[in-house]
Amino acid sequence: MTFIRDPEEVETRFVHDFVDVGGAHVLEIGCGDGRLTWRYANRAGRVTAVDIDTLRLAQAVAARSAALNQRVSFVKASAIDLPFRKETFDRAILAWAL
Amino acid sequence: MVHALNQIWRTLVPGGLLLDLRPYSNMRPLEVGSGARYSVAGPVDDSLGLIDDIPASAAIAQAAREGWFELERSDSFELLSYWDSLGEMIDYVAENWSDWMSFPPDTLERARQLEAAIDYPRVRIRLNMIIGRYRKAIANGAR
Repeated sequence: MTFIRDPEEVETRFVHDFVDVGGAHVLEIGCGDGRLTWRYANRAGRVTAVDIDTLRLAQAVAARSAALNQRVSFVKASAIDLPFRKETFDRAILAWAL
Repeated sequence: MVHALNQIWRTLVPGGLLLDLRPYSNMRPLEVGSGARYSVAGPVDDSLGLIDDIPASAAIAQAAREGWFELERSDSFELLSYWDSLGEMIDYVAENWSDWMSFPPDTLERARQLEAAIDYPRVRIRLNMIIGRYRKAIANGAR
């Protein structure tokens, strides 16, 4: 099956226009298979991406490039019980998750 | 949803930014075409998405009222999703979006007609997206 979401990268342009992730520690909630993550991660300092779907997280890990291995981590977690200390992140992205 | 926003507030540094990005229901069109030319087959029934849209917007509004976040900027835009055939799109929606999206029979029938009349057709759905940037504020009530 061939499915392509946003090949025009409109969403990417809006994300970068709305928030500067340069050098920031970013929390992404609802990352799924990492589709959106890959569109900003190379600019961020660090990315911690969470989702509750184990299968989709595995897809995200499998798609992670070697260049982003140290910078992007994926965590199985629910948005209502985030396993992180207070004041950890500079930016948070609710990716189709609210 | 409000609990999630409270958790995000807790884990953001003072002055940190929250970006809320999500589709909203608005009878999106289903289109069939090729290259730069697409025709509208009819509306997609995404009214069930209102079940999520309304509480999501209410949760954001409550977070603002509680003083957790301050809205700095918002906008909307269209996002296109493409499939190589009508059948692939139907299968994808059934597997991933069936809780909030379905197709009126007239829309599907028209889409089939358009698909049959076009060489190398593709099918797309035009999603309406909202995006909002919120800054973490000092709130006495948040934990």
